[in-house]
Amino acid sequence: MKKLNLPLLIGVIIVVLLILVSVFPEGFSDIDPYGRQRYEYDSSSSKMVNPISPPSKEYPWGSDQNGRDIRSLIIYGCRATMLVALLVALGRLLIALPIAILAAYGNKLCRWLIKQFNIIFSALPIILMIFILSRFRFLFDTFATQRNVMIFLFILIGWSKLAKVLAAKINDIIQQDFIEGEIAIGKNGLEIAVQNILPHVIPTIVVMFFMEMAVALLVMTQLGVFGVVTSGAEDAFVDTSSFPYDFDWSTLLAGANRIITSRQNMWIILYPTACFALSIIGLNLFGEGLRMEFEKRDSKVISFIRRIPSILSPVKYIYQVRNYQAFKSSVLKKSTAILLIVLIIFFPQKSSAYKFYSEPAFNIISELSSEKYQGRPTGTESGKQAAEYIAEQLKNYEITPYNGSFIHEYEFEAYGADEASELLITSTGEAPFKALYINDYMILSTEPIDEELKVFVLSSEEIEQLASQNSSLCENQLVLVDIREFGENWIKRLSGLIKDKLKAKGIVFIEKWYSGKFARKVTIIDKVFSDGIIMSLSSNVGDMVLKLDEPSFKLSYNPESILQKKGYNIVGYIEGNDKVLKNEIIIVGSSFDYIGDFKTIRYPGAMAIGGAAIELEIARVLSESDYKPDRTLVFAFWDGSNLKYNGSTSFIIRNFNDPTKKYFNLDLNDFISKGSTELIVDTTNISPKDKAAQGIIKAIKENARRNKIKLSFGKVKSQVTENMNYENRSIILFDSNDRNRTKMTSKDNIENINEKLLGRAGQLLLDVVVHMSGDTKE
Amino acid sequence: MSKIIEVRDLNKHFEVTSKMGLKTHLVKAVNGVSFNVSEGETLGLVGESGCGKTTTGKLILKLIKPTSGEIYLEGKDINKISSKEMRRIRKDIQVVFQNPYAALDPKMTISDILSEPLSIHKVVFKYDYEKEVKRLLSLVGLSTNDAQKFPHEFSGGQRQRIGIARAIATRPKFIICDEPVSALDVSVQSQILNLLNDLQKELKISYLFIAHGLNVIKHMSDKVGVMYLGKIVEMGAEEDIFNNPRHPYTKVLLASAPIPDPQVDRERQVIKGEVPSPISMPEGCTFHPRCEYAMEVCKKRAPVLLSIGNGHQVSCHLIEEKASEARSGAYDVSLV
Repeated sequence: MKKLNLPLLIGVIIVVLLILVSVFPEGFSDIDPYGRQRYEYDSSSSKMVNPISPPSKEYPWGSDQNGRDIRSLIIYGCRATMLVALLVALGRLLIALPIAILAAYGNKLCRWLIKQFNIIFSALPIILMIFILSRFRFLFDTFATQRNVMIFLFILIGWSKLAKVLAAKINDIIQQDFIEGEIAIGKNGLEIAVQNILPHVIPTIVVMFFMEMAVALLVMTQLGVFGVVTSGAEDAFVDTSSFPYDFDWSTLLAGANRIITSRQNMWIILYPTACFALSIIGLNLFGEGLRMEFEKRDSKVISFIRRIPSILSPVKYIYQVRNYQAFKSSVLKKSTAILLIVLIIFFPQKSSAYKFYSEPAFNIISELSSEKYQGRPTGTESGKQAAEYIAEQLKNYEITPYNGSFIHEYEFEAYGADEASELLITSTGEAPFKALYINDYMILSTEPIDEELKVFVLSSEEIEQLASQNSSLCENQLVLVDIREFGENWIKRLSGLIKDKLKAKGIVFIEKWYSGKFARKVTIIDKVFSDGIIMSLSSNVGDMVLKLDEPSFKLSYNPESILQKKGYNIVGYIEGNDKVLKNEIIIVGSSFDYIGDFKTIRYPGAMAIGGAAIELEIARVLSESDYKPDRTLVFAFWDGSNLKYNGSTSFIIRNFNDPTKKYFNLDLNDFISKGSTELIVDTTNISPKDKAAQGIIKAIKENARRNKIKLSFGKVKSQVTENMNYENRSIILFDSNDRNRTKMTSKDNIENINEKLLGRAGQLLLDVVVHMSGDTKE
Repeated sequence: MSKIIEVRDLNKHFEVTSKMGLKTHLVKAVNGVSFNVSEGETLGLVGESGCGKTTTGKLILKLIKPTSGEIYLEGKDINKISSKEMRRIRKDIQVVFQNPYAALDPKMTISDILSEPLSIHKVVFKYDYEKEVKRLLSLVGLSTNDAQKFPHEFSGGQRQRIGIARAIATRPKFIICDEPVSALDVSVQSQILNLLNDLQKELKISYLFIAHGLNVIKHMSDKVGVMYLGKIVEMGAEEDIFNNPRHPYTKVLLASAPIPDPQVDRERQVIKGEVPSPISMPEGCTFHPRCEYAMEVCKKRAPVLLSIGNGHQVSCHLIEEKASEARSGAYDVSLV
C-alpha cells in the first residue's frame, strides 16, 4: 500500500492555486484593482463616505485608504509577486548550478567564488544590505525598474548558498562507483554531467528551487514592511499616495505601513501578510513533497524526462508512422495528442454582434484632418465647420439630437486675435517687409508694444562675449538668436544672459515651428523672459532676417484684445428601451478639436480626431442596424479640449448631473497612431463598489482579447476627470502608449494613422458599448 | 594470432604526503608491468589484495593516467592519443566491474543503461535500440521484460549480467573483468563464469581477468600472471603455472588454496609475515623478507622476468641461474 505523500498533496494544491490566480486573476475577482472610492459626500445618507472600509459585503477583504479593494489587489498582484520569486529562484539556480558542477570537479576559481560570496553575505544582514544597495542610482540605469534592480540584488546575494549545497551533493555523486562505469563506456565529462549526475542531483535542485522561491517571498515581505518594494516602473503612479500600476504584494505592505495607526485597520496588512505566509508554506511543502517523490527508488519520472526529446521528435514520429505495424500504440497516442492541440489552438471564437469597419472611420479622419479644417482650432471658423460636419453625420444616422439640437454652443474668452499685432521689418539697403502675424511670426508679451526696436543678430559666442564685457550695446533692444540647433539647457543659459547681462528688452528666436521641441523651448524662454518680449520667427522669415544688414522691427502689439469666442459641443443620443435601465446613461465622449489657440500654428491633428471618428462610426453602425439598447447611449463630441475652457466641463455640469440617474463615461483619446502598440485604459476612477462599472471593465478585457488588442492599465490625463465630483458618475479613459507622438507636428496627418489598430480598437469599443448598453435583442 | 592488447613497462606511482606534510613517499602501485593478450585469449591476473592488479586494469582503461609505460591496442599506443579519440577507442575496450551493487546508475532503467553505449558509439540505428537491448538481455540470460526495471530490482548475479550486457553492447575486442564474481555467492559465481566463457567463444573477445581466487583463475584463464606488490613475478600458460609453479610466491599461493577433499595430502606451506606496506618496499627482491629460499643476492638486486621456455616467465634469482645455463644450452630464451 503506497503511503500518501501529504506534503506533496498540500503543496500541489497551494501551488496550483497560486498558478491559477497568477494566470487568470479575472476569474477570481470581479473588481478591478485600480478602482478607487473617494472621500465623498453621500447624498442619500447625508454623510461623508470614508474610503477606508473594513471587510464588508462590497469589500470582501476590506479596502485601503483610497478605497481600493484589498482582495482584488492581492489577486491581481499575485502574478507579479510570484514572478519575482520565480525569477529570483531561477536566476540563482542558473548561476549556482554550473559553478557548483565545476567546483565539484575541482575548479579552484569556482570554489573560491562560492567560498567568498558565502563569507561576505553571511556576515552581513541581508535585509540591511538590500536596503542600502537598492539606493544606488547606477543600478537603475542598468536595470530600469525597481523590480529588476531588486531581482538582480536578490540573485547576487543568494546564489552562493545554493551553490554550496549543490557542490557538496554533486561531489557525493561523483565519488560513487557507477561514474567510473560511465567513463568506461566512453562518455565525455559534459555528457556524464548531464546524463548521470544531473538526474541524481535533481531532487536537491527541486527542493532548493522551491525553497529559494519561498525565501525570496520572505525577504520581499520583510523589505515591504520597511517600504522597500519590488514593484514596477518608478514613474507610473496612480495617485498622490505613489501607488504604482505595476504593483505586487510588497507594495501593499509598504502602503499599509503608513496608514495603520491603530488596530482598527488591521485588515490592510493582515491579508497580504497571510497570503505571503500561505505561499511560503505551500512552496516549501511542495518542494519537500517533490523531493520525497524523486528519491523513491522506483521513480519513473526521471526516466520519462530523459525520454522526452525522443518522444517529441517529429523525425521519430514519421519513422513510426511509416512502420505503423510495429509502433501502433505509439502512433495512435501521438496522433490523438496532435489532433487535440490543433483543435484547441484553432478553435473558432465567438464573433461580434455588430461589425466595425475601419474604412469609413478612416475616411472621417481623412476628411477632418484635411486642409479645409485647418486643424479644427476651437473658436475659429474652421473649427465651426468641423463641428457642423460632425453634426451632419449624426443627422444622417438618425440619432436623436440632445434637447432638440445637435450643436450646443458655449462662449469663452480668448486672448489675442489675429488683428492684435503688426510687424514691419526694415533694414539698410532692403525694402521693408511686412510680416504676417501667426504665419511669419508670433509674439508673447504682457505689456502693449508700439515702437521701433533695433535687432541685434548674435551668435552664442558673441552673446557670451558681450555678456562678459557687460556691454550695453543691446540694452532695451531686441536680440535675435537662431536656436534651431540648441539644446534646452543652452537656451536657458542664453536667455538668462540676454535678459540679465545684455539687458535686452526682448528676445527673438528662430525655431522650426513644426517640431515638437518648439513648445518646450518656448516654455523655457518664457520662464526666463517672463516680463519681456518674446518673439519667434518662422524659418523662412528668420533665414531672411539673418541676412539683413542692421535690421530693425517696427512692432505693434496689444495683449489686451480679448474676444468672446464660441465653442461647439455636439451631442446626440439613442434612447434606452428598458424602463429602469434607461436612467443609466452611457456617455461615449471624445474631443474633436485640436490646437485652437491663436498662439500656435494649426496642425492636421489626425491622431486627435481618431477617437471622434471611431465614435461616429459606432454611432452609424448602431443606428443603421436594429440595435435596441437597454440603457441610454449618448454620443458626445467635445470642443475646446486643448484650451483652459474645455467644452466638456460646462456641458456635463449643466446637463448630466441628475442624482437619480447614473452615468458611465467612456472617454476616447487619440490612440491610433502608427506608434501605438497598446491601448492604455485608466480605470482608477471607478469605485470598486460599483458592480455595473466593474462589469464593464471585465467586458473591456474580454473584448480586447477577442479583438487581439493589447491592453495595459495606466494613467490617462484628461480634462474629463475634472468632472468627477459626483458619486454617480464613473469614467473609463482610453489612450495610446505612443510616447513619441508626432502629435504636435505637421506629420500628424492621415499617413500616421494605423488603420489596422483603428479597425480593432473600433471593434473593441463597439463591442464594449453594446455590452454596456445591453442589447434587448440579444 | 594477433595481439589485441600489449602493455610495456607500465608504471603508476602515487605521491603520498605524510601527516605533517614534511615527507613525500612514493607508492609504486604498478611497477614495471608488461604483458600481452592475443585474440580470443584470457589472461588471468592473480595476486593478493593490494598487489596492483585492479590498478593495472584501470590503467589500461585509462581511468587512471599511467606515470610511464606504453599501452597498445592492436598496435596503437593509446597513451598518446587525444581524449576525443580515446572515447572512440573505448568501444573496443570494455570493463565489467567488481561491485554489481554500485556499478550501475540507480536512477536509470536497464533499457537506458544498455542504450547508452549503443548511442554513444552508434552501434545500431537509432530507432532499433529497443530491439538491440532485448537481444543483449537474452544473450546474458535475462528476460526481455526486465528492460524497464531499475537496478535495485535485481539480485547481485542479475546485476552482474547487466554489467556484462553493457560491456558487450559495443561489441568490444577486449574486456577487462575486474573481480567480476568476488561479490557473488558461490552458486552464482559459476553461472557468471560460464556466461563469460560462452560469450568469449561466441563473440571472440579477449579478457583480462583479474581475481584473487585461484580456482576462478584456473577455470577462466588461458594465460596467468601472478602479481606481487606491483610487479609480475610469474607469467605463463595456465597449465604451466598451476602444475609447475616456479616462483616461491606462486608456490605458496597455490599451496594455501583450500582443497575441499580431506583425503588429499599436501604440503602445508605458511607464508611468513605479512604483505609489507607499499610505501616502504624492501630493497632488492620485494618478496625476499617472506621467501623461504631467499639468498644474499635477493636482498641487494631485484630480479627481472626471464623466460624459461614455452612462454613461461619467472622473476626470481633462483631461475636466473638456470636461465644462464639455458643461454648456453638448449632452451629458448626470450625476454619480453
